[in-house]
Amino acid sequence: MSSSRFRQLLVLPCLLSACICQPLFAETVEARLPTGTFATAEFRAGKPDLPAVLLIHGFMQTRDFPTVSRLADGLANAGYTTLSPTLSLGISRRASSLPCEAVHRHTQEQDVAEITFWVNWLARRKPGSVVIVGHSYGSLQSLIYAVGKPAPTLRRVIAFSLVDTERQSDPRTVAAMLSDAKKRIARGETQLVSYPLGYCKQYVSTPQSFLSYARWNRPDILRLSRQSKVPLEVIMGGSDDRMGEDWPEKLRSAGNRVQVIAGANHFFDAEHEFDMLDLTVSLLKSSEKKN
Amino acid sequence: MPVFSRRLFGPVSLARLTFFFLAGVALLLVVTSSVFFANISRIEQNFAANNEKFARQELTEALALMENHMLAVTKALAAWDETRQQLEDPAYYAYWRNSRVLSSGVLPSTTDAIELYDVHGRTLSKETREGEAAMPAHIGKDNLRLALARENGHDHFILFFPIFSDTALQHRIGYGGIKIDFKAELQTLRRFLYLDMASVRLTSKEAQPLTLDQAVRHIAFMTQPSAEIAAFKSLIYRVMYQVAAIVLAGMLLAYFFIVLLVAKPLRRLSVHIDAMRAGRGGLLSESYRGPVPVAELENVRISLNDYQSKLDDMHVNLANKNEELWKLAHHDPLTGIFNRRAFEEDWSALTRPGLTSLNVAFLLFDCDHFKTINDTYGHHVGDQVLQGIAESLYGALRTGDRLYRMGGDEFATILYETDVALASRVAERCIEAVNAHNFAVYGMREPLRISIGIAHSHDVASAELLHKHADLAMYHAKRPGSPKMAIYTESLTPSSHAMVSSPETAAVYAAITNPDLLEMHYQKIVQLPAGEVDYFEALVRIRHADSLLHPASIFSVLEAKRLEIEFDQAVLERIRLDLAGGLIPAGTGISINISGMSIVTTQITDKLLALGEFLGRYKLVIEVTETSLITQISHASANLNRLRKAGFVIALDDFGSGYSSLRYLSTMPVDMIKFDISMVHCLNGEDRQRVIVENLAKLISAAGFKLVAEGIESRATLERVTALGFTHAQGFYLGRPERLKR
Repeated sequence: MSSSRFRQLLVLPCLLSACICQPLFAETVEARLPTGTFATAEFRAGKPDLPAVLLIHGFMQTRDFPTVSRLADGLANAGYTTLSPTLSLGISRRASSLPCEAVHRHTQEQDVAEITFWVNWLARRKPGSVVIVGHSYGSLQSLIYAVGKPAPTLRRVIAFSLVDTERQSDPRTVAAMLSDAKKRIARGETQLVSYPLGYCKQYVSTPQSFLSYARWNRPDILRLSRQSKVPLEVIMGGSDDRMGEDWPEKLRSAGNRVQVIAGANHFFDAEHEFDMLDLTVSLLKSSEKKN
Repeated sequence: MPVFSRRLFGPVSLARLTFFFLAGVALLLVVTSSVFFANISRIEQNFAANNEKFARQELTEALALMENHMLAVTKALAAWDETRQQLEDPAYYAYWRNSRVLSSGVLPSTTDAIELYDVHGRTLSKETREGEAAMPAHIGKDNLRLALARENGHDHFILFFPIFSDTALQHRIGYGGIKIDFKAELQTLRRFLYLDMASVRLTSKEAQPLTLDQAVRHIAFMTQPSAEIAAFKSLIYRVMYQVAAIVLAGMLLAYFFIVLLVAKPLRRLSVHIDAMRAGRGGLLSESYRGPVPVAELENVRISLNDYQSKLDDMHVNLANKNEELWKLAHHDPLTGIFNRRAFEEDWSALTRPGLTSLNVAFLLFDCDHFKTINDTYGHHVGDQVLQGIAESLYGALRTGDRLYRMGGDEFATILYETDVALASRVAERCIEAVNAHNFAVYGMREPLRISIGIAHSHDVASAELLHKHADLAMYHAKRPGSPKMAIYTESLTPSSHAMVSSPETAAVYAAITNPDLLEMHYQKIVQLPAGEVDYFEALVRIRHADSLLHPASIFSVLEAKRLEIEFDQAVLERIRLDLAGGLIPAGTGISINISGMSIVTTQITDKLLALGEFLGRYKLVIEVTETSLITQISHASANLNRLRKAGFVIALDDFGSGYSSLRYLSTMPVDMIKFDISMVHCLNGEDRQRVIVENLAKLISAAGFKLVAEGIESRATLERVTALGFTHAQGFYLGRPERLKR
């Protein structure tokens, strides 16, 4: 039996007990954002000597998205303090993923601001180092935060399935959409537009909302990765081809530490969930040592 | 059944009966169907009542479901992130309300309108909508309940609800309102088995909101047609129609087949029976029975044919029997020729008017002295004689001539298209045939002779006289010396007087029954040469009224009526009375004339023998004619011998008027020979007849016979006969017949 498999077997009961015991430890916190919107997050206090982990979910998802929630559970069981917010996306106490057809007025910037808020909240709640673990677009948002003015307590950004919103669309099409949005913004148009964005075939939003997300492309990510003020760990699924097969290599080429978990998809589900957890824990521990 | 009923309900044809029967069945089917349909209708009504009850139940349940669903929907809507988003930032509320929320799946598809209101109850919408999508621009707390209302002809559920930003429902951020198509929503909630949703409608006033409790009372509806009942009813109707069609088709087929297989053959059978009744029927062939034979009708046909065959056989047998009976009835069983019945039938045809225009001869045949033959030889020989006569006559007649046996020994024939001459030739042929027939084979020793009387239609005024004339002629033919065949002529009329019913006939009949009416006149017969009265010949007279009937009249009646024997009996009785009364002088006697028929009769013989008591005092002489003796010599001889033995003297009367056969004289049992007057008168002549008579007298006298000469009318004659040796004489010269007095 491999060590990883042993750990899987060991972790499983822990996870199960964590699921059973979850209600005892999880705390749903509500905070009023500077925008006036009420945002919520699930907080679980862990060992004080371990860094707190802020988990950021994917595009328009919630903290209950399985990839993030299971990781939060795992980390909590591992003794880490975890904070899993649901980015409000302009909706107080958002509890469900926001459909593509919903009115999208939120922007990337607001999302990043909200990440800032939660990092600060976490720092106040649990002093000590903070590690942001992002998944999917949440990884990009976490990176953007890390490139901006991250909190001093931020130690690392672990980016799972670091992607943009292009989804390998035709560059000319993307350029056209971006150009259109810019024009609309320039004209001061407030009508909702509908463009494909990410997995949304029809992303109903203001042009600003669309542009805020759509303008981040791969080069931008690579650039950001080099600009991160904290170490960036990128973990990609070996089967995740959203960014192309060469994406991990490009990230490495950008000077990033990239790990590829063979066979894992974009969501690190099934048995790769344990790989995700293990790797996260491993990275967190390495962060501790460095501290 | 009363007469009027019989007339009103006469025989009805099978086809019509079948039609009426089938019509009755059809009517019964209609009535049964009507009753059945009525029952189904009643069941249907019961089902409808139950269905209404169940439908109301369904409606009530549906309204309850509706309420729960609406609450759930509003709850979900209130909890929906995008609802709070709009309440917090209604910048794009129009898009959200008009498009997003309706396509999100949060609202039921039956939603007609959705509206969000701020905390003050003011709509977030900046535009007004009309029609079904219209929602109030402002709501109050009174609106926060589920209501049912009718708007613009459509029924809606309307519910306004508060929206909170927190799960603890502490921070109300606004209100929501949804309008749902009442009927459409109900239909999505459940399946209605009884309620016809299409018929559901509020009966409340326009825009009058009703709570659910109120709405129940203001909802009008109809029930769905029960699929089961409808299917059942449809099935029943279909089955009934099919059954009716089948029954109707069956009845039509039955009518057709009954008519084809039963009625038509029966009709043909009936026609055939009618033909049979009219005598035109025959056997029924198999073609009558139609295309498919019916066993019962076939039995009838076979039975009818059997009956017809038996009937035909019976008719044939009957016809044969009739023919046989006719033959038996019309033929004489002894001789095989036609009998009297056949004669009378033919005679009836003959005696119709117009006979005198016919050329018809009527012949009557009679056997001479047949009674004597019967008595002498017996009935068996008598029958054989009759058969022989019939055979002889039949052979002598022409082909086609019918020979009738009239009775006894009398035969007749009717010769059509025959004149007198031809009839005579036929009669002669008949006589010859009879004479030629060998009757000796039957045991007869005497020749048999017949007498024939002929009458022709030309001589009669009517057919009835034809028979009488023939009868008269026949009797004339029977007279001694007759050629045995006589043709009726007017000259026979006097003697025919006796044939008809006459006072003389009546007198004869009377005398037969009453001998006192007989008067015996006695004529002397003197003994020669002394001239003394030896005896008297008894000659009969009948006192009739104031006159006397003499033998000529009497004998004609006797011959015509064949009363010889009866009359002789009466005469003998008279004579006996005269003898007993002493009328006859003592020492004399009497001679009694006995007819040829009587001499062979045992009764007469016995009657004569009875007179034997007078033999001691009187000489009794029995006179029989020569002809009667010869023709029946055996039987007569026997009787005469008995009389001679008793003491009677037998005299042969009228010798010379008949056969006058010397050969027979030697064998005849006679004592005396009475020469006929014709013979005595010959003695007065000078011709050979005198010589013959003289020598004959001598011869007979020499033979030992006593001779009596009749017709002595003069002395000379008396002397002459005396000289010839006659022993007795009789005549007017010696004395006329007269009554003797005591």
